Amino acid sequence: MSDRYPAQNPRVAYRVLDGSAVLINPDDSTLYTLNPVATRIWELADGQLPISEIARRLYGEFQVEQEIALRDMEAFLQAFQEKGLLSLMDHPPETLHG
Amino acid sequence: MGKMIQAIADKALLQKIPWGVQFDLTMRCNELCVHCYRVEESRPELTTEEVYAVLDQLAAAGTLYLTFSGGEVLLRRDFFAIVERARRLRFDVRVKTNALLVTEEIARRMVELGVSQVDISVYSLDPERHDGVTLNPGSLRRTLEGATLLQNAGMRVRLNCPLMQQTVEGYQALLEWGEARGFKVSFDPTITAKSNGDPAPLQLRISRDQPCHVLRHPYFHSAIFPSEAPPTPAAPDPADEIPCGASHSSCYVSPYGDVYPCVSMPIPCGNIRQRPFLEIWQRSEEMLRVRSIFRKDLPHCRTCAVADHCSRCPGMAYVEHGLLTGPSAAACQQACVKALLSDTFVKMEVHDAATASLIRQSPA
Repeated sequence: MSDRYPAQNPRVAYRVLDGSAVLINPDDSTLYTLNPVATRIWELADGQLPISEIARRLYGEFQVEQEIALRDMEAFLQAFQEKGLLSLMDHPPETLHG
Repeated sequence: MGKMIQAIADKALLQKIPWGVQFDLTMRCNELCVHCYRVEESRPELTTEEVYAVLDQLAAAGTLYLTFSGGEVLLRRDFFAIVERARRLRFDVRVKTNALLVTEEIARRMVELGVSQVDISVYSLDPERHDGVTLNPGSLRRTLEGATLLQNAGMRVRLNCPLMQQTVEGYQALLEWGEARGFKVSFDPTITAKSNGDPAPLQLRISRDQPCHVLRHPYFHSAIFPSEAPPTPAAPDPADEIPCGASHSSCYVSPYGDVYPCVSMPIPCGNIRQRPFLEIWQRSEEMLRVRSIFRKDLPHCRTCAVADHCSRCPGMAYVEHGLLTGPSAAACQQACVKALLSDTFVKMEVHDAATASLIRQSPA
């Protein structure tokens, strides 16, 4: 996976409860709960940060080895993209519209 | 309720997060339903900006599930602006409506905005009965047309039928009709007092000999109460369990800005025009009083023989007897019928005279 920019699907309803994100996809009402690391990835998936930067922050915050963080995160992002919960963009929105 | 949803609800309840909020946007309505709790007041309803402020505060307080109701929400000209704002704040939004004003365009916008479900009140498939409840001739036809428009647009639609004297005879036809067309159909025997505490609508509740007839239906026996049972956290001592989620993880906001523990509990805890929501939620004397009541504080219910079958509503108990800790006659009656219908009941010995009396009065 190249260094793309994960962006939450803004249609997804969510709140963080006790450190874990609770997500609801309004299109099928499926509910997801994320562990703290996945929650942090979700929060950072604002379309502005590339995957490498998110991995770097996880390394700093959770003491996860950057390579492992990157690998796990790519699997997570791929799965969430397939579920329609987020998209992986080649550029942040500013670049697209700039 | 699924295990994951229950676990999340328990967590919100234990942490006192207002996880689910019903927000009535208006008391105005284009129907005059005979059982309705709404009372229009001379006070002005919340303006668009005030509604936005409430939404911001609810989001900050951690609310996820937000139900817009009324009155008829589509009578508010700013309804879609409000829904759009709520969706931007990432609430899971549900809408309750009578669907009289639903058009193709309105249905499409609801879907586009990501409203997760629309609940529509239907009282009977018999136009005379339905329109006799709404006091609006032709309303059944227009409501079902609106429901179909929403469904065709891709919206998840649930038909809600309060079980009361006017509707109980036709519930089976409605259930079969709705399910055959892909609607979810839900029935609820809870009839709420008016928002000013007037218990007049309670007279319309199904009568003592009707619950047996209703609850014997396989659909109700397994489904009517468990899905509506309030979430309760696992507690080492069952007596420490919380009677329901009201004031613990849910509350109600009126169109005038009043905050209540629940739409069924006419105990105003404060007004958002005077105090921030979170201050009312966390510090209001009334909210804290409701929150302080545990099952062990219910003198009659804690020793009741049919407690395992009971879905007592504290708000209903309060309206009936003015006591948050007292029994609710409606819940007692339903619990007794459910106990009678259960296989385990024959092994039980009923010590409580009041309960035994209720059981004897309920035809088997």
